[in-house]
Amino acid sequence: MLPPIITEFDVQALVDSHLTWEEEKRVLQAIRTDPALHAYYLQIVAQKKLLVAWWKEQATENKTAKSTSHEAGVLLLAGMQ
Amino acid sequence: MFEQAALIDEMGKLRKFALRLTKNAHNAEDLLQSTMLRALEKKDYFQNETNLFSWTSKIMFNLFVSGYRQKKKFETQYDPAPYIDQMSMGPTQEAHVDFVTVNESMKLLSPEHRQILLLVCVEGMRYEEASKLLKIPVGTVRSRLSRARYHLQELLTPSTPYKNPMLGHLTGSQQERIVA
Repeated sequence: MLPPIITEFDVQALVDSHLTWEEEKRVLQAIRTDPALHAYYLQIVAQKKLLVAWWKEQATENKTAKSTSHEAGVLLLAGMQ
Repeated sequence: MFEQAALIDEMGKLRKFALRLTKNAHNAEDLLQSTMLRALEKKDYFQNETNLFSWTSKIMFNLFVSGYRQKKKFETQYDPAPYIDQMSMGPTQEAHVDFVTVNESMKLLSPEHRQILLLVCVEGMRYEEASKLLKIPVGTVRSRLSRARYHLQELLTPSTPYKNPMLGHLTGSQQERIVA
């Protein structure tokens, strides 16, 4: 039987910590052996880190976002234009 | 300097080490990812004849001691921008991703894409939680998040193709669905 194909959703779930230990091992193994998956993984990790850092910057600059709850702040910023 | 594949090979042992330090799977994953980023930033300083695990575990321990134990957030301590420059754009390009660029890029995304990125990537919300909050199926959360990441990366680094590894494996209709 062929091994299951690792999709972008699997890599994203790894980065978002949504996988079980067994699933994580399977995806990491694929990342080790596939340069394209490896590059994609690094890109998604970097993008996520950048977003977190950017959001913190926003929170310190934007009093509105700072004074609201996280969830409300997210929904508020989601509507920005 | 070392190959990225060699660093990936050390992830299993580093994860175990992070677990021993933090005693917590979630915190261990944060510590591991910060260590990976720091190692990639500093890879020019690695001496080939030395042991990569020893070198990276020392980085991890230093990160743990200097920041993690004080319960500070990694994201505020370690600026990811140099890593982004190095990994996503290449050394010869002068473009620099900064917070202004992120801000402008986020404004160009649809509200749905901004929202899902903020909920999952920034807030760390689980897909199921986002599904309940937004009243959409979990599968829609995953596909919307994937499209949002794709569009954001295109905006952040327009000269660098999105490194989606799956398109080559998929049929035409599947590719269209993913990048739509």
